[in-house]
This record gives sequence, C-alpha cells and structure tokens, in this order.
Amino acid sequence: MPKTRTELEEMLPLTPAVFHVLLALVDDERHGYAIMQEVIESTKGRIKMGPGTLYGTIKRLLEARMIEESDERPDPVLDDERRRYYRLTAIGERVVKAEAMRYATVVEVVRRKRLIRRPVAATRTMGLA
Amino acid sequence: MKHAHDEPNSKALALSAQIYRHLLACYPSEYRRAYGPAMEQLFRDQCRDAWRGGRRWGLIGLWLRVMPDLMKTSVLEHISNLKGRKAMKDRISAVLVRQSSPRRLFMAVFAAVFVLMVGTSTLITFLLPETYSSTSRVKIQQDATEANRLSNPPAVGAYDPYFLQTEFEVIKSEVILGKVVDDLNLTRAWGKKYGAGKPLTAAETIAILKARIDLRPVRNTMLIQIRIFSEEASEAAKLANAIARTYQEHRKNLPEIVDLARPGLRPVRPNKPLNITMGIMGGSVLALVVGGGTAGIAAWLRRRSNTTAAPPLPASS
Repeated sequence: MPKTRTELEEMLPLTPAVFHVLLALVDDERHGYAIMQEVIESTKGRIKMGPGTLYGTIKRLLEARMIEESDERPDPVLDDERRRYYRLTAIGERVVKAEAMRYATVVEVVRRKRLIRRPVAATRTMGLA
Repeated sequence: MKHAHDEPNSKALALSAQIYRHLLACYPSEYRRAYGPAMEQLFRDQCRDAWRGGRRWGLIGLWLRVMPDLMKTSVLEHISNLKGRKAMKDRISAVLVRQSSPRRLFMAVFAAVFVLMVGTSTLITFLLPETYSSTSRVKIQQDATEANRLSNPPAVGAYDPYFLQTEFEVIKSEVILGKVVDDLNLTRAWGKKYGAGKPLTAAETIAILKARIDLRPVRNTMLIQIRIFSEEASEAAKLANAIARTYQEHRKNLPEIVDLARPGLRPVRPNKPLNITMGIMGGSVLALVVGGGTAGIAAWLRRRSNTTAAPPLPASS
C-alpha cells in the first residue's frame, strides 16, 4: 500500500481506462457492465471499452488493491446474482483523488495561460458539450 | 407493436455470443477461468444494446470494435502472464527469444493472424443483411412531338442518349415514385421497418426507394432495365413492377412492359464466396507480413542475446 505522497505519485499518471474505471466506482459499487455504461455516460460516448480492456483493467486494479470484489450481492430479483460487483478500496480512493488533483493542476495552468476560461466555455470551444 | 426484428434474442445474438465464447480461448487459461464468464456476460449485454441501436449493423459495429480489443488484450495478457518484473520491452523480447525457432514462431503467428482475419471476414459476411434484386424491362419510344422538338432529331425509335437520360430522371421523379409509394402504402410498411413503428413521411420513403433503384439501358435497344434492391425478394419484384406500370401510365401507355420482375431466388448481396475469398487472400498476405516481421525480430533478438551472452574470447597466445 502506498504510504507516502511520493509513493502515490509514482503510480501516476493513470491510463484513461484505469482512471475512468476508478471514477466509475467512486459513487457506488458496480458490476462490469454498469462500469462500462458509467464510463460511456461520463465521457459522452468517447471512451467505449471492450470486454478485454475492461476486465484487463479490473484485473490490474485488483492486483494493485485499488479495487476489491464486493461480498454483498444485490437482490436477485433486481439483478443477475452471477454478476460480480467491485468497489473502491482506500488505496484506490487515494490514487483516484491524486490523479484528479493532477488533472486539476493541469487545468489551473491551462486557465492561467487563458487557453480556457470556464469549464463550460471550454467544452463548448472544443465541441465536447 | 414491437417488430420481430427488434427482438433482442435473435439468432445473430446467439451466434455472436457463441463465437465470442470460442474466441476467449485466445486468453491465457488462468485469466479465462477468472474473467471469461464475466466477459462473456458483458459481451452479451453489449450485443443486446448494439442490436437495439442498429440491429445487424449495430452488431457489425460492435464486432469491429471488439475484435481489435480482443487481439490486443489477449496478447497483453499473455505477456503479463510471464513471471518477473521486467519492463514491457524486455518481456516482449523474452517471449520472442524463448520461442524455439523463428520458423515455429512464424507458423504460430501466421496461423493466428490468418484464422482471425478469415474468421472476422466470414463472420461479418454472415451478419450482413441479405439483399435481393428484381428487374423489370420496359420498351420506350419517342413520340413524334418529342422528336420534332430537337433541331436535328434522330429518327423515331433510334438510340438517343438525351432521351434515355430524360426518361431515367422521369422514372426517378416524385411524380412516379410518389405514386408508387401511395399505391403500395410504403410510408406505413417501411415505417414499421425503419421508423420504429411510426409511418415515414412521403419524402423519406421516396428517398429510400430512390436509393434502391438502378436504371440501365439495354445496349443497342430502346429497352430500359428497372432493377430494385430489397431485403425481401417479393418486395423487390413488387416495387420493380409497380414502377414500370406507373411509368407506363404516366407516358400514356407508350412504353411497353416487355418483362415483369420475378422474385429473386438467391440474394445478390453480400457476395459470400467473394467476401470469403477476399478474406482468405487478405488474411494470407497480412499473416505473411506479420508472421515474417515477428520471425525476423525474433531472429535478430536471438542473435543479439547470443552475442551478449557469449564468453569473452581468450587472449591469443
């Protein structure tokens, strides 16, 4: 487990797939398909992961102990009980926060250089809204 | 009402899931045991979404995204399966060097690329919607008034490219196609197929119909061939005949329908033998290039590792 700030920073930058999977798990525990849907929604369809990429990322995140499989199973009436749910661990939470801070620092520099002014204006300029 | 084609449990979905299950064999066995069922389930969910989004085309799009993903991640998983904490470059070198010989490596890579290429092209060929065509033929002739409008008119009944081109445009005009659309109630029928159950507008229906028409003159004759493409053989024939009859009525029975369209027995698209042959040829070339390149790199790495590992030469006495 990364203890110091330096150890944590060594894990950065995260790949887009890893970052988005971790972001998808910030709110709630989810299964593979729900993670994929959340990533599509949050990136407005710009990142569409295949099963190989998604489960490869999940495997690496499990190995790095950034996520863990959830023991709780949802109500089988509401969902397929064979689905495996994943949730963020304390390490995962620290890493995703550190990566978000890194992005925030970059955004701050970009704003200082007046490449963008406000987030909304930026997305409009880039045609991402 | 839900159309039968919109049902997600179609044969195409079952076939896709079955093929994907077999393709999971590309991953290392340990990885497959841990994540295979979940990946299969995720793929089935994606198939269902793709089918709802664009039916067969949606599925084809999904396969075109999933195949490169599968190829890339299966190679990565095999590499990461290797023990040790070497850098990625060293790991690849280790895999290539560890293979018994460049020739065996070439054969393995050639077979893998060839099977993937041929498999993908065959799969796409069988997932593509089938299209039938039907042709009706009409004999046209200029009447005397039309012929006299030109300063140097060709004799009545002679080949006149301007006249033929004009008639082609008349056949594709809203006057003719609009009447065909009305007579066959195509706005409603195609609304069920392409408009999620809602009737299409006349303009939309005419645009779809226009895209399905292929008009050609029969060489050295005054015959026009009206060829129509459709997913249903009977619909193609019905449309070709309706266009020919409407055109005949419009021209006050001057054109003569010499051949009525009959439903085609076999689909004209996709050309399965051609597509599979192209897949085999393309697969062979790509497999040769990739296999040759990999074997070349392996041979070079082997030479390099032998040179590095060789003991220093004894000093000559």
